[in-house]
Amino acid sequence: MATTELVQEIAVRRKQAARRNRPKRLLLHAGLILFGFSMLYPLLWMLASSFKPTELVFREPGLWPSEFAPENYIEGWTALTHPFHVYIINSTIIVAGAVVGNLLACSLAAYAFARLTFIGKRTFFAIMLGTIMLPIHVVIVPQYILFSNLDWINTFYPLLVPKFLAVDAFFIFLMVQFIRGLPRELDDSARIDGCGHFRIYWRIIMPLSLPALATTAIFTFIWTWNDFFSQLVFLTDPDLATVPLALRQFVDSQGETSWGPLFAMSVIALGPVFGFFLAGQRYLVRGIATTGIK
Amino acid sequence: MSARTRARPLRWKALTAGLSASVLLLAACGGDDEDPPADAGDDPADEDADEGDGDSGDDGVTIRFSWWGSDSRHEQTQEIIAAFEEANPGITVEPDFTDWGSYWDRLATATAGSDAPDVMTQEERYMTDYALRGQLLDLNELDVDLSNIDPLALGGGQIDGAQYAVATGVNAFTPVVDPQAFEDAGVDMPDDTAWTWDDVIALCDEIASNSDYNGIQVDGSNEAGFKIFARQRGQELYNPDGSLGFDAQTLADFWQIQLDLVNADCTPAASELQEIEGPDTSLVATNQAAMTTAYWTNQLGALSGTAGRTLELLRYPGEGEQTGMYLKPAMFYSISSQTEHPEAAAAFVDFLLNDPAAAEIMLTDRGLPANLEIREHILPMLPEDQTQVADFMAEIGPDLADPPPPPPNGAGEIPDIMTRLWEEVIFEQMTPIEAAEQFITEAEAATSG
Repeated sequence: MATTELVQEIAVRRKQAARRNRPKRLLLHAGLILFGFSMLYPLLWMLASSFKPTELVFREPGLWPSEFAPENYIEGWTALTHPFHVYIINSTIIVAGAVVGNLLACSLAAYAFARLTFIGKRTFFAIMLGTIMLPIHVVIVPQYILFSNLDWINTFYPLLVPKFLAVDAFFIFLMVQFIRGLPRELDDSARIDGCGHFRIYWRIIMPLSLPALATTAIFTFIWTWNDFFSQLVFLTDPDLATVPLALRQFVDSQGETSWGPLFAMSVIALGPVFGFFLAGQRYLVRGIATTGIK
Repeated sequence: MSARTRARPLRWKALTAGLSASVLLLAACGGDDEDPPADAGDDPADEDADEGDGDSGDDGVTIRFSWWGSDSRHEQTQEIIAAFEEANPGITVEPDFTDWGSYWDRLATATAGSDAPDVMTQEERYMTDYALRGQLLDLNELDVDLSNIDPLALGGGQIDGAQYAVATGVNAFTPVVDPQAFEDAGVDMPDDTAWTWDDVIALCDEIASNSDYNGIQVDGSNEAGFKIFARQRGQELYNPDGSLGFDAQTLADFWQIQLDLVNADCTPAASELQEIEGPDTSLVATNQAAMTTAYWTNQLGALSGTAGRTLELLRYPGEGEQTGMYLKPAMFYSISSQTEHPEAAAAFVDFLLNDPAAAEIMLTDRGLPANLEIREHILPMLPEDQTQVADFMAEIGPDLADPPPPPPNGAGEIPDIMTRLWEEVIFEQMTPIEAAEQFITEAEAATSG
C-alpha cells in the first residue's frame, strides 16, 4: 500500500519534472529536426526529383512532385547500352574483389610491420606512409603504361590485382595501429604452444582485429563503389562499365541531361552503400574509436 | 599433438587464401590476351585485336572510336557503328564513350599511355594542343573525301595547311527568345536584322515593367559572344598566328553593355544570374525571361523541351554592317597518329562524314551536318526544333563572315579566365576596363606557351 503510493508519487514527480522541462526539450528537438532536415534536404530533393518528369526537375524546385513519373525508374534501368543490373554486377565484382584483397593483403602487411623485426623496417614503414600522400594524378599515367603493356586495359585486373598486393597504405596503417595495441603476451603464449608467425596471425591477431577489419571492409566498399576516376580510365568497353560510369552517361553538360532517370538510378546506386553502412556501422564506430585512441 | 596435426592443413588453407589469390590472378591473366573476365561475349572474331599487321585489307582489324555525350548520343552512335561494320566487313569498331567532363581526362591519360583511340572526337579548344604535339594525322594524306564539306567549316580544322580535324557539323551562337513572353508583355518582337544593343536595353526594360518576366538573361562569361562582338568591330578574339586580336576597350564595352542591362533592373540580381548553368536551368527554359544573350543553336531542343514552348532564334544584335556571326564546328573527327590501322580509321571517318545511312541516324546531334549534300538529304527528316535551326542557318547564311581561325594552344583556359573576370565586373569589384586589361594579360600568358 505504502509502496504503491510511493511509486505513484515518484511517477507524478517525474511527470512534473518532465512537464517543466518540456518547452526546453521541445525546442531542442525542433532545432535538431530542422537541422537534420536541412542536412538531408539534398538527398530528399534527389529522391523527389527521381519521381519528376525531367523537364519539371528545374522548373518546379519544390519537394513534392506535381506530376508523378515513376517511369523514370524503368527508363533509367533500360536507357543505356545495357540494362542497369549489368553495371551493378560489374561494380559488385570489383567491390567484392577489392574488399577481399584489402582484408587479406593489408592485414598481412600490417602484421609484419607491427610484430616482426626486419632490416629497414622503419624506412619501409615511412615509404609506405609516403604513398598515401601521392595524388592519383601523379601515378595514373605510369600505371596506365604498365597495365597497357600487360594488356590489362579494359579488364578488371588493374582494379583488382593491386588490392591483393597491399597497396592501400591507409588500411595498413590503421591495422598496424590496432595490432600494436593488442597485448604481446598473447603472441608469446601462442609461441610457447608451438605456433609459428602464420598461425599467430591467423588464429590470434585476425580474430582480435575484427573492428579494424570491419572498418577496412566498410571503407573499401564505399570508396570502391564510389570510385570514378580509375574506373573511367581503365574501363572503356561499355560491357565492363560500372555504376559510377553508367550514371555519368546520363549527363550532357552541353545539351539535354536526362535528369529524371539519372536521379532514379542514383537512388538505386545509393542502396548498397547505405545497406552496407547500416549493417557495419557498429563495428565501424568501434574500429575508429579503438584504433584512434592508441 | 592434435594441435600440431591440425596446423599443417590450416597453414596451407591460409596460404592459399592469402597469397595464392594474388599469384593465381597474376598467372591467370598473364597468358590470356584480350578477353575481359565479364565480357558479354558477343564479338567472336576479334582475334588479332592488338596484333595488327599494318594492312587493313582482307582479315579483320579493330579500331577504337571515342566520343563524349549523353545516353541518346551513345545509343545513336552505336547504331552508326553497326551500320559501318555491316558495310565494311573485316573492320570492327570498339566504342569508347563518356560524358564531356571525364572525356578529356580519359583521352589525355590514354594518349600519354600510348593507347589513344584510333578515331577520336575533338573540340576546337583542345584540337590545336593535340595537333601541335603530333598526336593527330593529316586527313589530306588519308583516303577521306572532304569535297562536299562546307568550306566555311573546313578551315576550323586546319593548322599550317594540314587538315588535322574535320568538322562533324556546325552551330551558331545566337540569342534565343520566348515569343510567348513578348506576347504576354504586349511587346512586339524586334526586327533582328537591324537591332542594336540600345534596342535590347529598351526591350528589356519594357518587358520587365509590363509583365512578371525578366527582360533578358545576360552572360558576359562566354567568349563566343565576345568573339561576335569583336568581329563586328573588325577585330578578332585570336589572330591567325594565335595572338589576341582585340583591344581592351572592345572587351570593356562588351562587358559594359551586359552590366548596363543588369543595372537597368530588368534582369535577376547578379548573384542569381551566376547560378545559371547549362540550358536546363536557363531563364527562358524555366519561363522566367523573354530573352537570352545567346545559346548555341544545337541547344534549342533542350531549351524549348524544358520550356514546354516554341522558342525562337534571332540574329546577334550589333552596331556595324557586319553581323560578325560565324559557324562554329560543333565537334571534330580526328585520327590518332598512334593508330596501327590508318586506312580503317580513314574509312570510318569517311563513313561518318559522307554516308547517308550514318547521317540518317545522327541527324543534327553533332551539329547541322558540315557535308552540304548530306545536309540537304536529311532536312526533311528533322524534328520541328531542328528544322527551325536549319531554316535559321539557311536564312543567315549569306550574312555570315569567314570562320575565325582555330584557337591557339592554351585556349582551353580562356573560359575560366573570362568567367572569373566577368564575376569581378558583375559584382562591381572591378571596372570593365580594369578587368579587360587584366584579361589581356592573363590570356596572353595562357596562350603564349
